Amino acid sequence: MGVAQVDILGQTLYETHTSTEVFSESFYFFTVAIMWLLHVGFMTYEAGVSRRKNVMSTAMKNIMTIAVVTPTFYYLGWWVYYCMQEGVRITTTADGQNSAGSGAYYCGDGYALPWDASAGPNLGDNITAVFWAAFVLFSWTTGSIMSGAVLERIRVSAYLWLTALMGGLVWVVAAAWGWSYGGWLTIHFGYHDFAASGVVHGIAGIFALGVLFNLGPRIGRYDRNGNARSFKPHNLHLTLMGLMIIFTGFYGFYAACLAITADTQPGWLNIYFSPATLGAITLTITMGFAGGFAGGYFFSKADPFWTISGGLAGVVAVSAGADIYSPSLVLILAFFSAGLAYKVGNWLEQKARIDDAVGAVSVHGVMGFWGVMLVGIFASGYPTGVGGVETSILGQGVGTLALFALAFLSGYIASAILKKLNLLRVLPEVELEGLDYAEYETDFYPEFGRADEPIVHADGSEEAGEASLRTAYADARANG
Amino acid sequence: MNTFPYDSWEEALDAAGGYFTWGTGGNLASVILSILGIVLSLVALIQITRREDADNRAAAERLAAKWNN
Repeated sequence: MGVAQVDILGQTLYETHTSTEVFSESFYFFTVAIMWLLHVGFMTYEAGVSRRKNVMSTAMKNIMTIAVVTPTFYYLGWWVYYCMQEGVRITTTADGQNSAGSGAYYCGDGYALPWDASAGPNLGDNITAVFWAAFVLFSWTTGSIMSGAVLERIRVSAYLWLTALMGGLVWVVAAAWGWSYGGWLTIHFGYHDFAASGVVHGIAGIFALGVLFNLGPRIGRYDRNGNARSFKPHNLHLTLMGLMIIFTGFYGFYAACLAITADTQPGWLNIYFSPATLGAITLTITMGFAGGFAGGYFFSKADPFWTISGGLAGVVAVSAGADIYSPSLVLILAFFSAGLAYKVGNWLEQKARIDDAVGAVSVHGVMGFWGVMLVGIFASGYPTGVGGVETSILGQGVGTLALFALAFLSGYIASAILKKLNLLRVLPEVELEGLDYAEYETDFYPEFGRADEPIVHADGSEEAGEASLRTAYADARANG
Repeated sequence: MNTFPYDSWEEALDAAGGYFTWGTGGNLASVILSILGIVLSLVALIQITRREDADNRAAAERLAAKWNN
């Protein structure tokens, strides 16, 4: 090969590389823009679920999630993702290949630290900053998932500390372990979690469960005999619309779970650097919603909340294997997973007496890890990652146990500390009056008069809420 | 009008190390800005917590009579 030919080949490779990088940069940018809809949706959904007196406080949590989690992830989380893939030990490029010998670590020489060239405007790097932004949107999502579960009684500031911890550290540790090509779960156990059933949904839902143990139910949510009662969402249509917006954002979330390189055919890769296609995940998410809605409708006997939440539960359950499942398998799994989410949600509410205002523990936490296990059942033997480790029930089980413990313990311990400091929950008088009236001293709907809020009993009968709330308030005061 | 101060893209990258705002990454200015950002984030969160705690207590005191009747 002559010098001229080498020169032409080099130029071709350079152009291919550059065009791929620019395409990838644009692709991630637009996934980030679409993923913003997740947070528009979460805010709308949760505001709709809230009673009228707590709408602004609820929305404030969602807005401030962005203000708190973004810097936490920038200053800490991004580095943790690259440097804690082998467990709690910090690994760097000085370690050479990872412990399975299947690749080198990025961490080291300051990579991903906030003052490094990799974390700023860099004309030599089109990819890192937009890839970082996609991860930030995943971080916000973990916070928003917890946000709904704890609404109407948590202090906004307590929520912000907790979401900073989860969005900036806890889910990132999970991602480093099981959602990276060098994570110990990936390289030793073939852990496969394509669209983050476990590392985003499972972690956020179970972290929220740990928090709910310390936070306790809303005043009046259970009667003196422990029977569950419910509060009416102040705007069910807003709730349903919020979820539909979340579903739109999910397409961006799924797409952002892909990577693209110049030298691999067909070009798209999953987070483990195994081949994938945009078409496969589009089929999966769409069939997942269809199966989930049908299952939710069927098992809940057409309950509007659980019909639409069934769509979410169905997609969460198939996300871990979204790059490899057959569309018909997705439809079936999503259908029955929606039913399971409905049953688990009711059990948590009525038997375990855990007041999760939006069913996040069931829909995200339980369905997330259920989805991880489904990959072990239905895609066992699939080679995951650059080491080609076979996915198995055992490997998925190890991942589930490790991540479940990580999420629950962090949520439980952090919320216990806030509770000890009397900073976790609003005072009873504020909760009864409504967080908007008491803290913001305003009304989200000033054009309407204030009406008594109904309480709905398990048999569907309703009563005016104030008398029940006064009784519950007296009990709460008596119990300290 | 050509505002690009270099003859070629490669020359620009070589001159600035690819990192334009504060020179090459890892320099003292970048480190100081990062520390300021971390401090600002922490102080803001602490202040939000203190303010909400004070507001919460004041509101509860104001409303106690209403809910005790």
